Amino acid sequence: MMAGLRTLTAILIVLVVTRALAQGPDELLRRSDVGGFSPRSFRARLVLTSMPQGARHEIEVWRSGDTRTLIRFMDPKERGKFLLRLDSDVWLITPGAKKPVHLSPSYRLYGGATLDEILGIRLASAYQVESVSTGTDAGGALVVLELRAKAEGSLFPRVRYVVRETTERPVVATYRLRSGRDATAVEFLQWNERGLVYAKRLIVSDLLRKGAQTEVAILEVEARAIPDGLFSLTDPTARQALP
Amino acid sequence: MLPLIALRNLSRNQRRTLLSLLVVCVGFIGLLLTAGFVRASFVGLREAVIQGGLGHLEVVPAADLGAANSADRTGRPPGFAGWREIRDTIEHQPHVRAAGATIQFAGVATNGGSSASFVGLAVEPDRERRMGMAVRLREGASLPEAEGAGGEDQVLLGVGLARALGAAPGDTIAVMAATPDGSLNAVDMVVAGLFTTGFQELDGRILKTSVADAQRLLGTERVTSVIVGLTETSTTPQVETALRQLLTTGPAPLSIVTWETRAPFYGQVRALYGSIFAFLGTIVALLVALSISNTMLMSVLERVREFGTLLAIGTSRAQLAQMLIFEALWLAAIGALAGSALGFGLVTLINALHIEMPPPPAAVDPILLELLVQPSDFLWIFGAMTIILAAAAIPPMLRVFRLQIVDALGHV
Amino acid sequence: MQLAFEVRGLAKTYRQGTVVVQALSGIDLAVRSGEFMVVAGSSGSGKSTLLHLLGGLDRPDAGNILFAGVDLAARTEAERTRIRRHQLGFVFQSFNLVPVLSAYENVEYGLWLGGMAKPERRRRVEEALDAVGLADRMHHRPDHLSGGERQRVALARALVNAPIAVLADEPTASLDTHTAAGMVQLLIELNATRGTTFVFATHDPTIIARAPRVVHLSDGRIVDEMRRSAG
Repeated sequence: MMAGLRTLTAILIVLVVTRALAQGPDELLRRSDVGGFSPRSFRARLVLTSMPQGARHEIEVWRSGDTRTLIRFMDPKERGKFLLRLDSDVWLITPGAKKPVHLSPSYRLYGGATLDEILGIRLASAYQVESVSTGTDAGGALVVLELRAKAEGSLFPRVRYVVRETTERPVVATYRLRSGRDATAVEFLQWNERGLVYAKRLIVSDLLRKGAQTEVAILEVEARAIPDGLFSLTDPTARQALP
Repeated sequence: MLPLIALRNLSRNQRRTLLSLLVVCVGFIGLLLTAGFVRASFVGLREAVIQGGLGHLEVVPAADLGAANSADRTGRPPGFAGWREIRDTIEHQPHVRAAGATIQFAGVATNGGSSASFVGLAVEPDRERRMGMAVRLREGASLPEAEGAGGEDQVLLGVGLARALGAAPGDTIAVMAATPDGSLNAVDMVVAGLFTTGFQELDGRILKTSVADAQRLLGTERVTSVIVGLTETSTTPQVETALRQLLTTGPAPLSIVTWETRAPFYGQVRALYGSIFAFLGTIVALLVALSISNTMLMSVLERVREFGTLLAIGTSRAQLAQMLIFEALWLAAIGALAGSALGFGLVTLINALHIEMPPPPAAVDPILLELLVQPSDFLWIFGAMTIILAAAAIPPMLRVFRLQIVDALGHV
Repeated sequence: MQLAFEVRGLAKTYRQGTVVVQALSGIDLAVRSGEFMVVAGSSGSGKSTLLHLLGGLDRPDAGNILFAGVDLAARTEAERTRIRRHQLGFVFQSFNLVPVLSAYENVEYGLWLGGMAKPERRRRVEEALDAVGLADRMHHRPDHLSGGERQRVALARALVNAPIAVLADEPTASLDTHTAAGMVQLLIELNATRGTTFVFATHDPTIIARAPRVVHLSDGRIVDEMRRSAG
């Protein structure tokens, strides 16, 4: 009787996965890519909680297309400070410095997570599927995609991308260094399915520093056109006019 | 009478005695100069360490000691807030010249195109000056002393860091650092001047600013520690005890750390120099002892018949041995006296010449050859010479103990 | 009559390389207190050896030496040193003065060894140097004195302690004839005035001719003995 049930479960999993992969693993990657859910231009409010200290920081994200992002720090102590990303360049803009200060793209907000980890790498465009396998967890069947970066010299040449078969939502993305060592894991805990689809709560774990985690809660996402002035390196007027 | 005979015996072979005195004298001077050099090195290093920014004592929150990173502090930002009160209390203690807050931080400085990471040290410039910590300025001016003088924030850059940034006095650079709560901040600072720490490696990384400016950058009222400068280094243990009683209790206990604890290499250098000195001292002692022993033995062999006569007329062998000891002691005394006079003159001359030695590895400036001799040096070297020469008298004494009177009387 | 020395069956051999030399053999001798005795003999006859044994500078191979009733051979070195210091005086052929000390200091040395107080030492030294006729040369060092003067200093040194006996080994051998004669005269006078026992080893015919008692040694044995009546 028990043997029969196990066989049945296995057959079902194989059937389900076979169905999911019927359209090809690259198509599954595209449909599950968290970055892909966001509109091209949006404003979002996020709360970052650093673990284990438990310090909460609110930020506002203004994004226009794939290449321009402005992070506005909302804590009273940090009013007037921005992080501006143009292509792969990241700049810090503070009231104390007249000119933006160039930062490394791997800069971690509050020491916890990079912008890419919070906002999501466009995996479908930057990576291709190298191999596929299957698995299960308490939530059901999983598809495990091993991704390889299309561009040479990417910070994370490989990503292990686990997708829940039934929902086609990512469960966890593990970013690997060139050495093969796991560097960061992003766990997608909660999804907003009404209106815009986006991960409402995710946890970024810095696997190189044990115990260092940042919980990201996305409070709201508003699809809207973003004025170009917000992304100006030289003219702060538009940023200063923000409410 | 034996000391008199011993002294007159030295005048028998004046050339040989002069040679023996020369050996003692040179040995004495050698030990004196080495002791003076070693002490000057110790004191110089000690004061350089203290004046270089370490101060005599450092007051830090007890919880910060041993906390290697922020995670160890379980969320509490490092340093302490009520530092002004603590600093003022410390400054009212006896033997305290001044106390000043410091902040240690790290970040990245950028001058438009180029950027470089730095280790930052924020100080209270007026108090730093009162503690006797002179900044070795290479270009430009020091940090302004008045707290909250307004105007632009100012920094001093290590010469190597300035070179890496392509910055010169008067330039404005952006200084960026992580605040205690993990966020990032940047402020523009005007380069007031360029300085050296004396260590090439540190010069390439160090940035110095005022506590007030660093606090604006880091968005904190806290400081890392309060450095205490004393009137005399010798009062360190006394003030440490006083401060310990005053500051190490209460809800937020503070720790008092001495400069020696903070500069463990000082102890290592001391131990190294100590063993080098002991080694040299042993060689000098051996050379002096062997040379004098040999000379005395020759002198005894020339006086065998005389010793025979002295034994025949009722002198005991112990008295003859005493006479030899007296001869050695006279050599020690006269040689040491001459060594003291010549050594003192040589020390004065060397110190007056301001001889420069090449900088040690990783250091920037040449070292001034200085000798620091104390009155006690003359005493202990004299004591050492006395012991060495007394030891040198042992082989000739043994020779005397073996003499047969009849053979000795017939000795030609 | 009290004896200064009493010697019975004295024998002494030396080893010179592989050769054993019989320096003294079967010596029996008695020297009265206050006697002036010469031990005569050619070189190598055993004179010096006999004097060394009498002075406790060496130990005999056989026989006894009683000095003032004390068996020297049975005493420790320290005891013999004390005896030499207080009760014996020595005069050597080559004077054997301490060259770095003045005549006065050479004479004073023995008294200092005996622990005598300085004022008493001064009195005794001046008296001794006066007795040998050197009061005006007392502060000269040996190298500024003539041979005869040096030997008189040595004599003063031997006498200053008022010893029971003075042993002199060839005391005139390094002196010219005239000085030697003066020296002998002085010795005889001192013997007469002080009553000190004098034992001389010599082959000097001047001394032999004037000595009240002469013992002749040859090959380590007493071969002849001669006594002259006083005067």
